[in-house]
Amino acid sequence: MQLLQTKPIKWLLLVLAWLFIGIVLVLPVGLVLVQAFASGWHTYLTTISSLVTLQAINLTVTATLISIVFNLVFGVSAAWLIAFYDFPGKRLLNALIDLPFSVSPVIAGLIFILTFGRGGWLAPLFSAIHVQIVFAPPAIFLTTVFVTFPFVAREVIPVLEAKGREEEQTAALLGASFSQILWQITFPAIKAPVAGGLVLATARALGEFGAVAVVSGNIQGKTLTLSLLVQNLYNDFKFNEAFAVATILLGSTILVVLLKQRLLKN
Amino acid sequence: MYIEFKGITKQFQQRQVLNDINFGVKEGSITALLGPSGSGKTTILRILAGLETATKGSVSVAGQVVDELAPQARGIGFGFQNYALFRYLTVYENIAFGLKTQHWPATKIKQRVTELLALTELTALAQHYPQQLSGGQKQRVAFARAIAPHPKVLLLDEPFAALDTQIRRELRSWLKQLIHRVGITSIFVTHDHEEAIETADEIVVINQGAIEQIGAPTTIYNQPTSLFVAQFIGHSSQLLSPNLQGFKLPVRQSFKAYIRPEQVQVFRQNEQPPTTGTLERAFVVNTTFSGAVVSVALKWHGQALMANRSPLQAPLHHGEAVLIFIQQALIFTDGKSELQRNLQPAAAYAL
Repeated sequence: MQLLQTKPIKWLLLVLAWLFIGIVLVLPVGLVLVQAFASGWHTYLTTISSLVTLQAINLTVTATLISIVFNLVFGVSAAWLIAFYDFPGKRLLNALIDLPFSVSPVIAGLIFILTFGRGGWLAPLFSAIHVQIVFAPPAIFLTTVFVTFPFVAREVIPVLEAKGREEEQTAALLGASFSQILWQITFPAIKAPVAGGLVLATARALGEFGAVAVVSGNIQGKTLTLSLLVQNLYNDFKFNEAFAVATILLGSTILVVLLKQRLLKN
Repeated sequence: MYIEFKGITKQFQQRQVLNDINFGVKEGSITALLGPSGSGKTTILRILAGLETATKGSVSVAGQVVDELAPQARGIGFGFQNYALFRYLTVYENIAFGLKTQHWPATKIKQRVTELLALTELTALAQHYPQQLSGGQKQRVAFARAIAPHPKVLLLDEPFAALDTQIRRELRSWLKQLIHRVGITSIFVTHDHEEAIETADEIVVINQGAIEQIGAPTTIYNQPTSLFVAQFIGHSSQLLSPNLQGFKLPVRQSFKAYIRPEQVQVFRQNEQPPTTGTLERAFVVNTTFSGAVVSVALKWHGQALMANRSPLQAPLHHGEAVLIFIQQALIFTDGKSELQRNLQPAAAYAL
């Protein structure tokens, strides 16, 4: 191929790629770090070890862990159901799984307010048992689960569909129990897509802002996730503190992406 | 009968897949379910295995009705078309899988797997993974895995479909010998009549969810009882009311004659003709050399007729006038078939 051996084109593309990455990725990240440490190490450490930050970390990590567990269970079950069984409404279910990807996060948050908030459909039920959903951690968990649940299912369904169900059927005919089939036959085949899906879900759960912002109510020490805390600090003109907290999110995201690279290599 | 299908009917939504299937399978025999794709043959296999439920009817194995039994409780070894080997387990672990799930003691498992590896000539490949195996080796692993827990019945869905022609032939006779040696009652599904004829002891021909004919391979091949079987099994020339000399033909009635190419002898004008029997004139339209035989397309009384000729004999030319002798024909009148041999003494001329 003459075209692909042309040096100028190669260099042009290379420059464009790095220019783009530099402007939209490297530069902003660099500025975040510069800003975070602008008032010195002391301010940085005080900020990220303050009670408010620790509470935000706690809430964010809890929401992320709940999403991961839910994703694993729901994602694998839904994929198994869609790939291995025929039932009426299969296409509808398949389409509905994608819903969180196509709905704006703000709308997602509003859906939960309308459902669980004051005057919402399920509000009487939860107020009767004195459980507050909206403007409390449960709403944060619910919205985070909502915006992340397609990840594992989306990764696993095509892999299972391509694999077919004959191995599972053979194992069943040979007398294997459900858990034997799941762990010895199915799971080894879907390890990679499950891991990939979980990594994406984790990254999204850590950084989710829109949907969470709507249902959070912004109560310091109670319903502030890291993303919300960054915004609050920023709105209060505490730029250095805002960026300091942002470095936590940045670090964890980089960690998760690196983990994904490691997992995919194996 | 060891396996018995009684009035099996299967409906998928509005579609009638199987309609009143009745047949039996002898203990220790190999039965082929032969039919075109979509004929319902695989569904019969799956109903016996418990992977599908019949809408009506009942199946019994060794005198026991199995309809209500879970698939794994039926004592059935099943081989899928694509083998469905467990890709993350070695050959050894694949074969041992069913024994482990049935809680065999470790020493017994080792003994049985070693025995099966030897039987299927896979000992050297015991620690290989399925993706490292050839098609034929995969098929052998699937076979060993299926029979490992001593099932009563072995079911194979299109066991040779995924193989190359050469390996398919080898594996066919290998599998037949092995099944007879092990003595396991087997049923396999195929759309290939040669495969069924070569491998099976008994053939069940299925078309559009119903049984067309049941019989030994020679019977099915030589005496098809329906037009479908006559057309589906082997190759035949179809002639409409031909004036066949030496046959008892229906009078004042149209009929169909099916003539297999190997039942038509072709002689050149200068070749020594047989001493008896009426020879008829035909013209050579085309010849195709296919290794073992020369396939000759003839025109005879305006109708197309195929014949086989040995490649050792003198080649025929296009348009050449030749003499033919038809030894055997299948005559269909009013949906009834009759196999007839030429009443005149057969030509004493061997191909």
